[in-house]
Amino acid sequence: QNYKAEYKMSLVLGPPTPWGEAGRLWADLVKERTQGRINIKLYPGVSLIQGDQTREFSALRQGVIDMAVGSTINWSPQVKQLNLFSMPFLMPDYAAVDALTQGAVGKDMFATLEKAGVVPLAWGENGFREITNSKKPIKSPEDLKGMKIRVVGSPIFSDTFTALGANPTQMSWADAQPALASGAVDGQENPLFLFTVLKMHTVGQKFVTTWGYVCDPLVFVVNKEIWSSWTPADQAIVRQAAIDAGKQNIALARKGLVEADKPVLKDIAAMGVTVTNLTPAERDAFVKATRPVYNKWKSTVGNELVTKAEQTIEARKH
Amino acid sequence: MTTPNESGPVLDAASPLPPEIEAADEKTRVPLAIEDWATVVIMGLLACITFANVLVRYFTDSSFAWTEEFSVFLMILLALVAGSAAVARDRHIRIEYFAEGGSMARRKRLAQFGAAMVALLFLLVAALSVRVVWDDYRFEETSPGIGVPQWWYSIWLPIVSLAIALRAVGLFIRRGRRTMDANDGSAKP
Amino acid sequence: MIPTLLFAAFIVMMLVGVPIGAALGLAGAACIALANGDAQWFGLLAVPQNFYAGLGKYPLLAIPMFVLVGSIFDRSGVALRLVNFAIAIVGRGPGMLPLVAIVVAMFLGGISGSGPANAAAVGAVMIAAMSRAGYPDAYSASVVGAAAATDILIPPSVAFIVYSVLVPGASVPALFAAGMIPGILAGIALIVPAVWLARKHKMGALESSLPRPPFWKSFREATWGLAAPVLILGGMRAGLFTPTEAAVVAVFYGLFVGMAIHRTIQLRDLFAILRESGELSAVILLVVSLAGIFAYSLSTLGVIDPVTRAIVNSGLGEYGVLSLLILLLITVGMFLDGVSIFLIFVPLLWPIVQHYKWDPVWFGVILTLKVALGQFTPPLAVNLMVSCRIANVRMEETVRWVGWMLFAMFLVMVAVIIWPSLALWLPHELGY
Ligand code: NA
Ligand code: NA
Repeated sequence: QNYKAEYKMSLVLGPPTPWGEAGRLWADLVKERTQGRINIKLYPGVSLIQGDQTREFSALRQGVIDMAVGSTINWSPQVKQLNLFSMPFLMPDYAAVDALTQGAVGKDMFATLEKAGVVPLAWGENGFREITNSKKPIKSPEDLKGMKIRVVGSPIFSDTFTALGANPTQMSWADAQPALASGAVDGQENPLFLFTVLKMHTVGQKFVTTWGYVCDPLVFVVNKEIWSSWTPADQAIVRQAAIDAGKQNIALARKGLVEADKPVLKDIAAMGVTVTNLTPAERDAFVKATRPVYNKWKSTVGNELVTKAEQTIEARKH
Repeated sequence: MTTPNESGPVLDAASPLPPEIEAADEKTRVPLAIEDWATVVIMGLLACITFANVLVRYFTDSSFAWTEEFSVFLMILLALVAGSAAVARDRHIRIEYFAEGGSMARRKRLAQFGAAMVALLFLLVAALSVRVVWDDYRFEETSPGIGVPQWWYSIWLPIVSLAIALRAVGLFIRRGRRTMDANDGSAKP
Repeated sequence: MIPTLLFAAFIVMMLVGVPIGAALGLAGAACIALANGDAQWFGLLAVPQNFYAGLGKYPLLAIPMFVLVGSIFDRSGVALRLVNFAIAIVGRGPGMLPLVAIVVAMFLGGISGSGPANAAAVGAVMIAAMSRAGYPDAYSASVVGAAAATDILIPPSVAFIVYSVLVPGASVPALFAAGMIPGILAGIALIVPAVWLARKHKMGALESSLPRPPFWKSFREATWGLAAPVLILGGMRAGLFTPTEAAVVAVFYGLFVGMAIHRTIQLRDLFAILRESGELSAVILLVVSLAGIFAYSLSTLGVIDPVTRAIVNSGLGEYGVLSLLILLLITVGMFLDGVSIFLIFVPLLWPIVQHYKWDPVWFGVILTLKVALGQFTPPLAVNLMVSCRIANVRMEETVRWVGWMLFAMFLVMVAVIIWPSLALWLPHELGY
């Protein structure tokens, strides 16, 4: 068996974000449990392909990257079914997310990823993406009208924000930061832990609305050739390590958001930021406004898959 | 220490110099007008698209951010196409301090070596990027911005890379033919 | 072993005159293949992926646009009118024309993004004027070459755009703001030896006999030029446009002024303007993308960490290491151009920057100051190359003058190292 001295793992965010911790935990567990047979080096910032998040999956398939903990959003240009998780207001809560990733839909998705040329091992989580802006509290689609919002990854985001009357613009975070600071861009959407880590209130983001329109799961994958170069015993170790790291990562990503008093929201409010929680009726207005986008993308993602997801969510345990 | 001659790569990348005295191009078998016209069209398009974006946003409070993906593609195409003309004109940044000294035979060999290395690199890029295009095509990858097939963009990488390699081969042949003027190092047909 | 090969292959190829981009790409590709012998396609698919991804960045679009701005303003007749207006203000007398050359170069620096474009625009007007006033041509070429070097410090600047793409922690607006004060200081620092040399050697004796342009008339004619930096820098500051958009607005403004107001640009000139700025941009962009292959090889070979550890544990201390770096860069800068210096050295030096917790924006200004010095340090001195060609003198003749100006600007770099707030105060004040 031919093992490399070091394996290259790509990540968008490094530690101490939950995403970065996911990669670090996985690498540490693998090294420990294989007694150092498999050594992994982290490359946060997708630095193995010059920071181009949307090419990460291609590079993974072609052996430029050996393994990755990647976002479904960044990989959706290559695997259109992954757009499922970006369909606006598909998943109302964490139970819905778990029902999808840990159930039959997750299995289907892994089969699709397998066919797309990689070996998927486990699910993790980046989190529900909430909208922030510098202008005013967003309570209805009308409030979003004319706002320039930075989005990433897939055309479905452009469609969603266009349907809400906003001006979506695609840029990397490196470009977004000065754009937000100078007011060239009004808002952005990301999981809330990033708000704190990246100190978004210092670039003028004074208003947060928790609308939970999409949730962004992470996937632990290995390149096919690399995978088959390992012994079955080591494959099992790497797979179990990914599952264990994924569980810890999901707990980290939800920390402060699943407790009744939501300490993360309190921390953000303490920075002088207005946090708006939508009432069910207010949220419904957003759901209604984005329905055409949902329906349009249903056929792209696959009618069968989306219907299956809808049924799974309907049947979830609270 | 001498003031370098006109035909050399008198550029600093941080600070490009518009060569106000247009050195006469050496004759090439395939006219450079192909790359030149493409360059002019792409530069014009880039300026107009970006300017239109500013105007539309200013007057209508909306934007067409989708043009960004197309603009980035045009910029990549510009780098390749205009870069091809720059290979033929031998304008790429290089250190000529050591290469432009010594005997004529040595200078000729080094000039040929440089052209050969450019040809080798872009042949490699062209060959390898065929696999990238093939992957983009067979896995039906779509572009992250507009959602069009990715191979519409990537197909140009092997094509123009091959053109650059051929320009470098042309330069190699011309450098092999030329006899150097010992005084100024400029090309004599 | 492979890391040694990476650097050896690159350096040898570069020294024998292989284009720098090709040397970077080939050395990188060779080492990727050697390090991944048993991987699919020798791991070489990293070559096209990094080539494409290295270029596919929206902020890089600012480079061809600012190069185009330089090319347009070079022919727009703005420089001549700014010079007349400056003379109308400061008057005629020994040492006044070199002062005007430096101030106008700084002002054009607020429009263009590159040194040689600035040297071409200022040189075309000033060198002949200074010759008529009795200044030696070699001295005039030195003044113009040095003054144009302030261009990459004063925003907008192509050098800062490249640096910001390499260093995500340093945004273009922050770098632009940070370059402003050091750029102005560099200009002022140049005025001192320029005027002192003129008086000491009794140059420009004829200057006082030349006519002084009428103030209001020259002001009226210069307004179009005077408004350009306000439009570009003000527009960016107000959040009206991104740096790329600012460049494009300047393109159309410059075309309007050149074609409709000053009538120095004809419709048929557009082909030449677009072609040459496109080709120059391509030359820069290809180095950027090919350096991506080299950077991939460098980061996956795992050489940077041990080298960094060796340097920071060498017992030299923070300022010792910094002095050593500057010494190294000054040596390299005699032979290498600015963007290549950024692309090769920023990835190498980055862990050291992080170890000492140096501010990325401040470090970018220091590097750019160094590159600015390199633009008029012979033998490879792009600005001097331009000004010497216009003045029709050989570069050797400028050495006796240029040394003083190098020293003056070097002092500014030392000042920015000692007092980082010279660079960091303005971006902080503007909230970047
Ligand atoms: Na400038
Ligand atoms: Na130099």
